[in-house]
Amino acid sequence: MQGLSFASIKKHPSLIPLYFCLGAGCLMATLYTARLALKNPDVSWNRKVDPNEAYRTKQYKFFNQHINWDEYKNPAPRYDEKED
Amino acid sequence: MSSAESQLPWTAPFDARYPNMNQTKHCYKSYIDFHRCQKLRGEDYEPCQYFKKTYTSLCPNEWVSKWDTQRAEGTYPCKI
Repeated sequence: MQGLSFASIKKHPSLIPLYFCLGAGCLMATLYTARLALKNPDVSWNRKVDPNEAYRTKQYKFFNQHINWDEYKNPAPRYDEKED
Repeated sequence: MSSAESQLPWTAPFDARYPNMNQTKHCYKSYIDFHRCQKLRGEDYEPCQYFKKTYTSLCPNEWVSKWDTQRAEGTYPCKI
């Protein structure tokens, strides 16, 4: 098929933006799926660690308009640590 | 002036551990944390009540009563 080898691309250079856009789209989709699989607080790969705890004071979502992370304190009290 | 404090509605505040719309784990964890907290710190420890208020407002009532009966029978799946 025309356009699948280097020689035919030279004959039809207008196909290059198509490859570029397609490649960028596939790459973004893959990277976002990987981010979801590896970083989402609801996803767990290891039975021993609770993945939600990593985000006790951290932001996961990209957009956030109302939380000041410098001042944010997680409301859930820690009862399992020794208090002095 | 009545001395009754105004009963404003309360709901679980934003918890960064559960930022998504699905709060199932938040509900489940709060229930477990409340009972573990009580077991560890005693019945009168005030900060434990945060967990109780949280799971009361987040969890469906059917789940809470199902878990309560499971705990009473000793069939609750999680270790408290």
